[in-house]
Amino acid sequence: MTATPIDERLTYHLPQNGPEYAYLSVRARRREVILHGGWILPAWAALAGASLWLPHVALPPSFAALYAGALLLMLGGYSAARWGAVRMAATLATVGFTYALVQILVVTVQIDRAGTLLVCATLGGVVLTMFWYALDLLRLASAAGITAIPASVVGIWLTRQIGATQPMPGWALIGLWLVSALAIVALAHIAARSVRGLHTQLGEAQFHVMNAEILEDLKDAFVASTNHELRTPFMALLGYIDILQREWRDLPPALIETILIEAERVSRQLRRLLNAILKVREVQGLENFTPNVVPLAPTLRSALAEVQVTTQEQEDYQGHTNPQGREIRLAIPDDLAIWGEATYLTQILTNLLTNAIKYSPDGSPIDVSAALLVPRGHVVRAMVEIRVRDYGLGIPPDQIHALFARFVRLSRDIASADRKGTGLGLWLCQEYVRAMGGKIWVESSGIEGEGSTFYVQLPTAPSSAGVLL
Amino acid sequence: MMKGRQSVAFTTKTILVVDDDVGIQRFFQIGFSRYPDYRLIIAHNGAQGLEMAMQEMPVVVIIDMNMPELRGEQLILALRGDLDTAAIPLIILSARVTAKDHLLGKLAGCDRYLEKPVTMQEVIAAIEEVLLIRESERAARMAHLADGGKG
Repeated sequence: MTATPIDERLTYHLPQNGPEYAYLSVRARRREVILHGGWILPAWAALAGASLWLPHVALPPSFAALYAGALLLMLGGYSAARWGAVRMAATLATVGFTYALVQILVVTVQIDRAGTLLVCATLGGVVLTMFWYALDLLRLASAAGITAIPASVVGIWLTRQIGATQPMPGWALIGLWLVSALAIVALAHIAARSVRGLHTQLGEAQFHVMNAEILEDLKDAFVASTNHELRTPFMALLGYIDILQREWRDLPPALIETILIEAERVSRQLRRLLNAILKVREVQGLENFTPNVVPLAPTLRSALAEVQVTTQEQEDYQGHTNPQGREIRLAIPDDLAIWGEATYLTQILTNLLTNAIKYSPDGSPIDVSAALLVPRGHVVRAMVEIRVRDYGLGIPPDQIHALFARFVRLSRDIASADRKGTGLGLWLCQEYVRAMGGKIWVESSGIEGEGSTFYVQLPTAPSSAGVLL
Repeated sequence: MMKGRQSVAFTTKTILVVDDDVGIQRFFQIGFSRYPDYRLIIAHNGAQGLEMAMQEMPVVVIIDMNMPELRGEQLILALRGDLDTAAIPLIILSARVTAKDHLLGKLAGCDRYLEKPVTMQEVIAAIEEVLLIRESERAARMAHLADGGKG
């Protein structure tokens, strides 16, 4: 039997390796290189150790030129990152020459064993630096590692074949070594940059492909879960109609009334679902609106009215309470207005208020406040900040980041039978806010009773409209 | 709806409905009120369903698949695994309608798989049908499924 989770409602969680995580992996890749390329250092150390006991020989000056050439060839090969055979040969040559160089240093500069180790460690460090910068040359690390041992044998053989002649002066060797070390670092930089550029392009392409795939998956999941979610209220509705149709003559009036009330309730539930589904489609092209001055206080009042209609509550919404005995504390300056679209703002406020009511216990208050943020520091434009605070369950901090994504619901709510939702409300809010050039976020300690505060910042109406500033 | 055990007439058959959806619970309360032969008890989740099945020994259990605490097929496995409850006919009533879901239900050991939406009449028909299933038939079917589940 498969382990597919089978009790997901109208929910879908974005996978953790989704496109928004694609760029995060550079750091992870770097770690991987260190992890896998790290054994290069021991390889160098082994070479260094071997050099201490092997016969010391001197090499002709032409050796230095050959060595530099091999280095350049190797780096060229790697930065091109395509010539497999060249890369292999160059690695062999470089490691061999490096070994020989160490031998020369030992003879000509008369460095002791500690000095030899130091030189080898430095060279190892340089190579590691190269891997560090050229993040994606993980294969280079493997190639160098695999070839290190045969290459050192070649190096020893070369050293013996050429034989001892006039040794280079010490300062020339050290100079040569410094120059080649610098060259390695510089070339590694260049290589890394080009590789990174390539990566960014690849990353973007991958991002779009993954995005498309995920959207397609989400769409499938949405169709499946919507179908699923519609069936339950539909069953009740069909069942009630069936009972009424067959038995209405025999049913006591009180029961008929109960059935009708129930049928209406599930119909409303169906309507809510259908509306939510429609809104998902509407979201495309949200930016196409003509901005207007939208006064905040009246919009909030109509949002409150809507919240009460949808939660089937009647009573007075002009005041500061709603029928669940909840206190909705408003602190909205009368003259505050935003520059945007009235229906969007109503939607945002309605959603936030519905959430606040849904996720906090009956009787607990809800605070709605607003203030004008004047331009200061990096804030260029005057914004209206709206805060909706409840004193309910709060949001676990580890789940906040996903809260505004489409189809995301908290695991706690998925498990709860009372808190039904589509996982679309906050996502829609975010889309509306974005379309108007604002931002939305939430702050919550995740401690029950402290609740959460949703912040919405929207551009304020321009001063020419005579409202503010 | 949930009457005490003492008031149950000798002939009434107890039906346990396990569904977390309040709308469905209310529907069954109203629906079963028209069938005095049956006594309805309701559990809101799988864990509660298991407990009530053990205590009340219903003649049929109607189980939703998507539930918190204990999912439908887990509940079925638990009921089938217990000697006391293994013989109770089980009906799945689910909004999940793919062939895979049907197979999952059958493999867990349900006797009938009903897809939402169904009417009260269809539910009653299913109950009467599963009440006729003999234990030997079920054992044979489960053995067949266990053999390879190809059936």
